[in-house]
Order: sequence, then structure tokens, then C-alpha cells
Amino acid sequence: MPQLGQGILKGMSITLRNLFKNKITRQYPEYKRDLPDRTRGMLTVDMDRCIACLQCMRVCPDHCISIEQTKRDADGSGKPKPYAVGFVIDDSRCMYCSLCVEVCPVNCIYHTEEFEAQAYNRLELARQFGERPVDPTIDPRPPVKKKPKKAAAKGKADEKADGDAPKKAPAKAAGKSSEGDAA
Amino acid sequence: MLSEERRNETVALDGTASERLARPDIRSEFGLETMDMNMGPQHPAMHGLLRLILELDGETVMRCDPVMGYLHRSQEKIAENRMYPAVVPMTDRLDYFANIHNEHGYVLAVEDLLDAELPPRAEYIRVLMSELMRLASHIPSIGFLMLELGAFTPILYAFRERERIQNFLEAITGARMMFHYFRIGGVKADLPPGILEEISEYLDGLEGRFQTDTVDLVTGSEIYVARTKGVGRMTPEQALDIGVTGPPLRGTGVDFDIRRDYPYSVYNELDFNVVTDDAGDVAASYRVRIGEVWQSIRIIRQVIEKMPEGPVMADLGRRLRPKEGDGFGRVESPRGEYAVHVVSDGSDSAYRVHYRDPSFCSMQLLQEVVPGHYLPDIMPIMGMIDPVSGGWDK
Repeated sequence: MPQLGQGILKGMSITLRNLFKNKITRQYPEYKRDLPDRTRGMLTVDMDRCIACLQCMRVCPDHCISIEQTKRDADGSGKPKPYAVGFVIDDSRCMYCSLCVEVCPVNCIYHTEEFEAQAYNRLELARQFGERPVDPTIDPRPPVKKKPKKAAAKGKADEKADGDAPKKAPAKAAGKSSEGDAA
Repeated sequence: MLSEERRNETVALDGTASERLARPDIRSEFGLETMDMNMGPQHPAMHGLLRLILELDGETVMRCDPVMGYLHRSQEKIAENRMYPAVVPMTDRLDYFANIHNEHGYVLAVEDLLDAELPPRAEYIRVLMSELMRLASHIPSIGFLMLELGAFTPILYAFRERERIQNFLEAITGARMMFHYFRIGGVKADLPPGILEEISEYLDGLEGRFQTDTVDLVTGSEIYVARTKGVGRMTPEQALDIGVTGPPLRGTGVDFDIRRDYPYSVYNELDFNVVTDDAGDVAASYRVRIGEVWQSIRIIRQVIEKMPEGPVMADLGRRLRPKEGDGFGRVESPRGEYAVHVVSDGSDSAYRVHYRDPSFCSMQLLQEVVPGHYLPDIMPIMGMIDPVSGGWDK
């Protein structure tokens, strides 16, 4: 076999050629590259703009945002409006999915370029933005209601067709949720 | 009892020791046993957390049983408890080496449920992202195969390219790995200005670098040929029976590609070839991957040329409540066919979501193909499937 070893020699020549090219690795803590504009880093909130609509809290899949809401006449118009007294973002839960940023109607919650979230304690990762701290360990949303099994759902549909009292319950629930959305 | 055994043993002792061991009657008579060995779950060459129970006869594998579940996160149950848009970021966590394809499969399934019409620009952006992701997955796959054979250089060159592609993906989506870019009804945002020219420029350089640093470096190497040629060989029938998809299937000669046979997005408007090979071994799947890299580059060039203007998101309303029924989406992920089945009961969240992950389905190949091979051949066969831990465990 006259060619034996030629493949390896060819490979070594390619490796040698790469040896004299510019290095592409960077020493991270000393060198930091420029992040693109769309970088999704840690979240932050501009509390002056927040209207306490709670949409970010509702949409968050990881339940990492908790808001304590009161009615307050903040702008002196004489009409009390929803106001976020406490606002906490728990970075130990956040997965940077950006759903809260998209849903915010006043663009007050947004991503920064900061991505180095580390702490000695899990609670340190819960960043408070409001006047009053909110307990981040409490799940801001009620537990997910058990879904009716297929058979149960069918039964409900039958009841609906009969026009019985249970008809009211789902309608009420739907109304409630739509109210929540409007607020 | 024991003395009688000893007597039989001395009677039967004739010939060399290895000859005696090879005779099944002597093996059974003297109770010569095979050895059970565990490979993994934490093995330096394993693709994630996987335990293989091996029954060894000397160096030959008699039986190979994969034990999965070390990374199980109950993704399907999570998908039942969340609203439809909130499941998309979780699908990124399935096959974390080709996230875009996971998102694509899920959004296709939900759009099937909603009968959504997508603007053409969104479809083209999706194809662009998918093919960039395929490049970023196939090139390191080749590097991983070589890493498992003991060659360290190709993985460094492969990751150099993956990092550069990730830079583009980061500029488009805002994250390097968990992109969350596809939305039900389109994509999150339009492409940043000037990115198409940058990608086009990068592809010009990639073609040369891929040819020298991966193809030339690996293909001719004698060690590579000795370790992969004829290893993990399957017939097309066997591959179809097992349910293998993707490069290992096309390596056996079966001409099947979801992009061409069941076109989604705008793949039917694009011109590309389905790469096949007929050897059916590890080297064949490597050649298929090399060919698919060239085809992906070709597709991206066409997409950049044809990219239409317009919106990137269809108006589906804020609250997604599909009618009762089921939706199905299938995409060609770098590892094979990735399919999602979503059943809706008319509420905010799905009644049932099922992911058909190529890593999981191709894993059956281990039980069928590995027996009869030597122990060191397991790693090239794993490199042929190229499974991802997040994919097979879900």
C-alpha cells in the first residue's frame, strides 16, 4: 500500500496551516465581546412607566414575576389607578424567553445586556423593583386547575345542551379571565 | 459435585484455550459466562447521559440495552399545562443542539390546528433559520464522530464554525442557544438590517474552510477509514423496521427526506438534492452529512436571493384558542424526522402534546445493530445516530 500514511500527513499539513492563522479564542473575563442589540439578558423594569396591568405576571411561563398591586392616585388626577407597590423578578426562575417584554403595553419591562447572574443565595437573585419587597417564593398565580378528562368534558357538553345551571359556571369563568385581560 | 465437574473439565481439555472458549458446547458445559458491563451513564464519550448495559464475550458485544431517562423533564406534561405560546420556549430544551427545528415542528402543529396563513417572508426566514441551524448541527456532528474515534482537531474546527453561525443566530434572535424565535403565526421579529449580506459573505468563506478543515482533514485519514468502514452496517429494510430517519437512513440508500416528500414552509419552492449513500455504515452517514452541508449552503443562498418583503407575523389574535381537534407538524431535523402531535380540547392549553424525537427513535438501532461488533465500535455507531440527551429523554 503506497498511499498508507498519506491521509494522516495531509491532515497534519492542514493542522499546521491552521496553526499560523489568527487565534479565534478570547479569554472571557478579560475580553468581552460586543453583544448584539437584541441580546436577551437579565430583565429590568422602569417603575415610573409601569401601569400595573399584571400582563407580564400572567404570561410568564415560569411564574418568575410577582407584582403587588394597589389603587393609588399617583399622577394627581383625582382618579385612583392601579399602581405596582411591589415588583419582583426572580432570576433563579427566569428563562429569558422574552414573552413578558412582548406583552407589555407600555414597554416598561425590557432586557438588559447583563447576563452574569450569580449569587451565594437563591433569594439574592430575586430583584426587587418596587417600594415594598414582595416575597418571591410565593407563586403569584393560583395552581393550574385540573383539566377535565375527555369523558368529563363530554358530560359537560351534554349538560350545556340541556341548558342546566352548570352552564353559568364556564361563562362566568370566561368573563373573569377576559376582565383580567382588559385590566 | 465439584470434583465431578473438574473431572469433566480435564477430559474435555484439548486444543488451545481460545479454541476451547469458542466452542459453544464447552462454554455451556463449563458454565463459561459472558461478562455484563455498564457503559455510562457518565461516560466521557457518551452523548449526554445514557447507560448502556453490555453483555460482552471477550471484546465482542452480545447484547446492548440502552437505559434512558436520566434527563427526563416531562416536557410533554409541561406542554399540557401551559398556554400554546408559552410552550415554544420549552421546545428549545428538547434537542438542544438543533433548537430551531423543535420550535418549527411545534408551531407547525399549532398552525395546522388554527389553519393559519403565514406571510411569505416569515416562511422564508424560517427556512433560513432552519438551514443555518442544520449547518450548526451537522458540522459539529462530524466533529463529534471524530472526537469519539480519538481525533481532537476536527471538533475544534467544527465548533469554530458553529460559534460563527451562532453569532448570526444571536444577532437575529437575541440568544445563543435557547432562541425562542418562532412564534405561532410567524417569527418574533424581522431580520436585523444587513444580516443577509453578512451571512452570504460568511458562506463564501465557509465553503473553503469546510472543504479543507473537515472534508480533506477527515476523509482520507487511514485511521478514520479503518474505524468506520463497514461498522454499524444496516440494510435498508432493517433501517425502516427500526424506524431510523435522517442521515443514518439515507446512508442505507433509502431516498426519504421530509423537506422534499412532505414539504413544509417554502421548501417546495427551493431547489436541492436529497443526498443518499448505499453503504449503510458509519462512513456512509458521514458522507451524507457532508453532502447535506453543501445542500444547506445551496438552500441558504437561494433563500437570500428570493427573500420577499412584507410582514413577518400573521394576525391570529392575542388569545390562541384553537377549535377542538388535532394538529400535526413534521420537520426534517438534522437527526431525522421530528414530529409534533397536538390535541386541542378548545381551551387555552393543549389537551395532549406528543413529540416524536429522532434521537429517541434512532436509539433502537443500538439493540439491533451493535451486537456482533467490538466494544470500541459502539462509539462510532453512536456518532452515526448522533443522538442528543435532551431529545431522547424529553
